[in-house]
Amino acid sequence: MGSRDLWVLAEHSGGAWQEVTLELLGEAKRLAPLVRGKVIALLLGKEVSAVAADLAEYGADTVYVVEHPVLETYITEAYTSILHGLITREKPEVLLLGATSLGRDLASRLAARLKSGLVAECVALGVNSQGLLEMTRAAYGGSVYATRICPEARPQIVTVCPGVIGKEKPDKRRRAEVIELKVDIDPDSFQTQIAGVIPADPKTIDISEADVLVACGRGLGSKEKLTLIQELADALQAAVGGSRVAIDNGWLPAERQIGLTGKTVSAKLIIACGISGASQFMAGIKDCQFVIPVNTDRAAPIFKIADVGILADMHKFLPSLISQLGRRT
Amino acid sequence: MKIVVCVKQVVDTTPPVELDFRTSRLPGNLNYIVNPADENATEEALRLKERHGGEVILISAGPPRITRALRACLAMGADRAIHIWHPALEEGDGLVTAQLLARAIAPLSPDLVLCGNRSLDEGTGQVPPALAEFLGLPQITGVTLLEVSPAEARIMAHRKLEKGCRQVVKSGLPALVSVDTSINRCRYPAFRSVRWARKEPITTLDYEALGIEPPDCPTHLVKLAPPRPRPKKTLTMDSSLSPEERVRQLMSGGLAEKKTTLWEGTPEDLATRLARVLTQEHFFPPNADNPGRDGH
Repeated sequence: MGSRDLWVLAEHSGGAWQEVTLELLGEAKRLAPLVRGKVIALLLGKEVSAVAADLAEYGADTVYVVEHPVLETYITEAYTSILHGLITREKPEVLLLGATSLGRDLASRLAARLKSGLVAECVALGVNSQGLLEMTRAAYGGSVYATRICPEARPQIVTVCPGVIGKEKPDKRRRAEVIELKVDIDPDSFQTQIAGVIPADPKTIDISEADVLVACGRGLGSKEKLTLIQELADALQAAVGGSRVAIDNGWLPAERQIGLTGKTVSAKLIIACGISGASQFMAGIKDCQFVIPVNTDRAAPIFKIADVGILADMHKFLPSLISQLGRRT
Repeated sequence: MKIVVCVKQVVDTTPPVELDFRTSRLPGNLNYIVNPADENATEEALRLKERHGGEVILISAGPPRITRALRACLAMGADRAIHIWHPALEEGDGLVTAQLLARAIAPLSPDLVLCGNRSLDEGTGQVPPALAEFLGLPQITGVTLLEVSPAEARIMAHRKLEKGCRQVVKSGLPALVSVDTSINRCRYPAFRSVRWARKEPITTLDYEALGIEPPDCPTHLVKLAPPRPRPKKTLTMDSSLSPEERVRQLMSGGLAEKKTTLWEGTPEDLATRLARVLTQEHFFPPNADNPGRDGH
């Protein structure tokens, strides 16, 4: 008989948490009393113990830290053997992973090795009257929601789609016990090697995945002026998007449209130039964190959601900004 | 080089699938197609065969109707096809399918197993890693570029990560690779090969032929329901606002208004101020690894 704990595999890369890790911790905290277990976060990596305390603020009661130089990047063989070892020893009730490139790759391999049940890409989790996890996922292109349970095999493994649960506000007072675990791994025995990472090219990245965006709208005036937007985008390593007007006028290709009829973006920074902020556009940028509109119309609705609002003509302001940024490098 | 390609037949989800939720039955008039990513896997296998020589074997687990999908991929140029079937597959999940596929693939001892990274209808991408585990092979999933050197028995692949990044992975052969639909563009089969594929015999294996009992499925379906996602947590509206203001916020899709002052002045002046803010908030100079303010 194992413990009744809920484990969450925390993903930390490039100095930042995967959003879904924080969402999962909040969800695990909500489910913990229903399953009658504790929330345990697993953090694998190279020199990661410094950030382990963050996990407590989002819901972890205990953090298991596994440090090894080979864990700097994700490698299927290392993660599978470490988790397999820990799970067979501690026998948790539930294992939660994000449906990320890592979670998708790992969860199924791990489930196969453990001969346990996996429900992948879930959109909702619940607990039934017997304390079993009810895992709901979309099927047939999203037209049906199927709920599955895993009655006997343990742990009940779930991957959850990023962005569907939403993360909670961190509780700065929460503390967790941090336990460092030692593992024996021999990188020479691995059949696969990671040769590096190719960073995304902001010019070709899908705008819905971009962290920094420069968007243009009617205020641009003509396609020739797009060089201005591109120059600013280059300086910030941003992707370029546009409002419906920019796409309808043929200034930008359709896959770069932001808004209800285009794409929903979730950039950390968006500079919206010459866009007044029709409700359709605003719906597309509501997940953006830092919004900087540049517009000549004082009453433009987009200024209402601005973090910094620039009341200026983009054609005069952008060249100044580009040269300012150029001077700062 | 011996390449095995796993093929799945899926429901075409372009027209919305209307399920009868009382009986949990799929409507009878569904259109079935070859899973798009599996088609790309077949294409990749055929390109490798053209370059390095060898054999491409297709394999699929499912009811008899899936032989149509196998024939569609045979028409693209594959050498032969194997079909696995038992009624218990219907209730099973990816783990069951992977176990059966592994049982059928292992005796073939292929150099490379190719799969689509996820299916159109279920979309869990559960089979490829589980299959790799049961075959005892290294896996590379979500691949957008694949290079094989059969002489050295090594492969190099670009694997899709978040936010448009790619991981470069090297592995020895034999290995299992699941491909993303962006890896290639599929060929259009010639009429002659379509005709040939229609008549080509397909071997069907059942549990008996595979020599195993139907594997247990660890997860059970309890409910099918119309899609209704749990509402995402959003901040509640400020109760000090007037009702009119709150209704306006509701109508705007829950956009929280921020109290900002507009910056006015000469372009140069504004540019200097904004450049300072962008630097303070760590948006500038750009850092490919960690753009954004607090790293969260």
